[in-house]
Amino acid sequence: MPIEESKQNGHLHPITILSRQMIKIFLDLGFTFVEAPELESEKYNFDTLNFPKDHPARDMQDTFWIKDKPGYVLRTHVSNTQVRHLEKFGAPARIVYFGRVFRSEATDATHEAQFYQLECLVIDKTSTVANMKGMLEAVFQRLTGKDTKLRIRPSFFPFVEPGFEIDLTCFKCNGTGCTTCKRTGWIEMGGAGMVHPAVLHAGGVDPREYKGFAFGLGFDRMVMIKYGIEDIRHLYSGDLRFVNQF
Amino acid sequence: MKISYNWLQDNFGKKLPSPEEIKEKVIMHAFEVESLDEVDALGEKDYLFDIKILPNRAHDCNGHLGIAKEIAVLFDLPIKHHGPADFPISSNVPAVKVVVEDSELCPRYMGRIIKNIKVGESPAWLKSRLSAIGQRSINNIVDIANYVMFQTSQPLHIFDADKISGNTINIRPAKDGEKMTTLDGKLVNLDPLILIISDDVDALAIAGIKGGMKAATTAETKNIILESANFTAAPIRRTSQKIGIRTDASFRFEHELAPELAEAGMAELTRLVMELAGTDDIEVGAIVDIFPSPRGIQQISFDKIDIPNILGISMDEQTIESLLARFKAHANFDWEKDGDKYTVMVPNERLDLINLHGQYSGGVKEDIIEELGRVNGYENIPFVPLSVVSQGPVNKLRYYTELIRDVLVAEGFSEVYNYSIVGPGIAGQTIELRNPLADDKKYLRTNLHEELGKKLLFNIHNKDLLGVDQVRIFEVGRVFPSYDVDGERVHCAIAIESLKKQDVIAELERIVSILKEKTEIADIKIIENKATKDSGVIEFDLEVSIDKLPTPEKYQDNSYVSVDTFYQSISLFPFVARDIAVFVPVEISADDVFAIIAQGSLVQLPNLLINHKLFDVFTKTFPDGSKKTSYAFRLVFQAKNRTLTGEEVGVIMDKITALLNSTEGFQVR
Repeated sequence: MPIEESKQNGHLHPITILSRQMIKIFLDLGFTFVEAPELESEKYNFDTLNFPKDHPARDMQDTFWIKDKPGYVLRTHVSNTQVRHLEKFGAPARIVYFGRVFRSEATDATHEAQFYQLECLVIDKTSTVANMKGMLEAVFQRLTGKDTKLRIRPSFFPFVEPGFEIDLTCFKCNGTGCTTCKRTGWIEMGGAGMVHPAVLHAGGVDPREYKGFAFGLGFDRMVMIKYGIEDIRHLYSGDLRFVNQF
Repeated sequence: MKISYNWLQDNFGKKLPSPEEIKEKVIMHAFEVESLDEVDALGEKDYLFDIKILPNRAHDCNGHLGIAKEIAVLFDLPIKHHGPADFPISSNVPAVKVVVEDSELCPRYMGRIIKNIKVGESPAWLKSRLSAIGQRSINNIVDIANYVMFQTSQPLHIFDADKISGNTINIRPAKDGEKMTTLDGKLVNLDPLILIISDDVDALAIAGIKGGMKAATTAETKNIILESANFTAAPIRRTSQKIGIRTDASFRFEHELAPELAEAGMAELTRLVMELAGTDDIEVGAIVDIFPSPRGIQQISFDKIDIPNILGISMDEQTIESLLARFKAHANFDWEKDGDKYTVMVPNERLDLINLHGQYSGGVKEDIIEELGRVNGYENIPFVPLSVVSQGPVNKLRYYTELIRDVLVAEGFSEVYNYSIVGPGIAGQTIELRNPLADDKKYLRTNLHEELGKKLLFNIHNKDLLGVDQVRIFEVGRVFPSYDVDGERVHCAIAIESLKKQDVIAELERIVSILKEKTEIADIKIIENKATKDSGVIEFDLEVSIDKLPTPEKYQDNSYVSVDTFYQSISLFPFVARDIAVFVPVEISADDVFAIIAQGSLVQLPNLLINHKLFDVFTKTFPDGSKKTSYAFRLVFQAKNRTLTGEEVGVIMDKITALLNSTEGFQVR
């Protein structure tokens, strides 16, 4: 006789697993989870985020445009949430958002035309770059261990000023140098910056009164580093030989 | 941007710090340095930096001088400036006649005639500098124009003055039907949206993009016209995309350059032509400068208190002023002070600090505070915790999405993420991409179940490898069921494999009822419910299903978060499944039996037995009265690096069989 089938649990996708952990950390810090659409207008994806029309900054993000729907795109970042939220709820704001974004890029082991981003936004009267550093280091220490260190470097995104690149000590080798961090001891984790006054203004918030910061990271890369996944395409393969390892 | 260390050094009187020191400083205070390599620049040792210039600094840092100014500010090292070249303007040389039709498209045009030059080989230092950044030397005239662009960021052009019909340089839209052959021999059809440089008859160049054959300089060229002009970014970008020609010049113009940069370009170009292509009879004409609308100087004011308000670190007056002094000394800034208020005068080429695109878009105090903050060092900014606030409201959609995930995983479902951009769709009814990556992937998915059904069949093929009783998968995701841009919805779909012993429709119904019970979503809005001989699928609209439900007060504690997983790459080679059944004494457990099987599999290393499943157990009384238990296992073999042969697996199975049979009371059936 066949043996009695024991009940087997299924498996969550690794992006779900890691995003749950990270979003939970933000919720515990008093952030509210919000969402915005994947099919988005240029207004929220570019215009209100201080991307001038016809500007090469828009080339940094290879955009999919929607046919016969002028002014519509697949969002190139979850930052489309920023002005949508500010318009609706105003300041102060402390929100975290996570979702699928799209770039018109040729696919290979490290690039996909779709991937996930997680972003947070803090708008109030007091936050500074020092608070941004403090909060982000706390978030990553909770996620990857209390020895994790964070540093910021100058960078540029049209919707922040000043803009930063966020580096973490490599959590594979604890900063001693390995192949994951290309022997530098640091991993580029994402972009951040003080919210540009033009973005606050576009969201109906007075930049003379309010300020804040935003931080965003490419989630697939983070999942790949954490689990040592060699090819981003596994994430969208629907292959349980992959998913059931998690 | 490729930057040569020796070239940078040419811009300084004092010895620069080492390439490694420069790299570290630039990374932490200015730009990402993607690589630094020692290179052989035609026999001269050099170092090449690859510096990532983002759009905000593409106005001034796509040239060595821009980077040199950054280094000057960061290390407080003075730039060595060439004084204005000392030469008389020859009255024998006529001023070139320039007509700019539309200064919106060409905000500035500078031209100058130089007579009696000599085209020849470039000097070794010039060839070496160009070689370091990957540019080939052509002749002194071409090399000079190239060099000045890679020095100042200002693109330049040199025409052979004797090849021009008439005596006017026109900057005008091309006419329909006009054509031009580029310097590299490509015939371009022009149209009125393309701005060209022409003489009285023909197109001489596509403005800001590429020179033409007609007035090209050659080894015989004696008299030249120098062009240092400014063209508006967006039209250059559109033309370059349309005609499919991208050059170092068009790249710079499409990132927007300050018209004032043209002056620096013309001065440096003239100086080098005189120095490197001069003859005893050289005659330099006056500059013609068409620049109808010069801009004023951008001023940005900030208060001392703005620094801690933005950066979270205070700077005393001495620090602020020593930083401002560096910008003034090395990078053409100026500043003044009135009490605690500072006003900074921004150099023209720093378009990132100038208000060009509407209120708050640029030229704001944050721009200057960034400059002070990064030069002072972001590492000096402390880590200060964020103020604590109480938890915000629950997001209803997220609450239910995560709950559904947990319920489904507990019911044996694994989660997949499929693509949003898919093949199937109907033109005019399905949202379609204007610029798809491939013709067979141009629609947005209207549902989840179609792709999920395909993935189910795929996984059923690997069922033995997965070791599951039934393949069950689900997806939660955004779909685009209507042709309306506001029609995006969140759906959930589940798919299960059909099993002989199970009514698939009844099983789907059972799962839906479990979902209803555990999530308390009473009214699950099913939009697809389908069973075939292979599978069953159900899809529902999550947003509609929860629409009437109240927002929960707090999130559930989602239980299925990670235990630390060690991921192993998937073998792309086929697996082989073999069954083995063995009679053993009744007191022997399945685990005991498998331990022996596992030991037997070690005959081949690395171990190829990657999965096993106990699928049948029964106990039989033999005629002699003895009782034995039969355990049947399915064994799955697979290699990481090759397709296993039947013989190879046979050897392992033989060893396992022999080992089982040699155990007291065991008999392989």
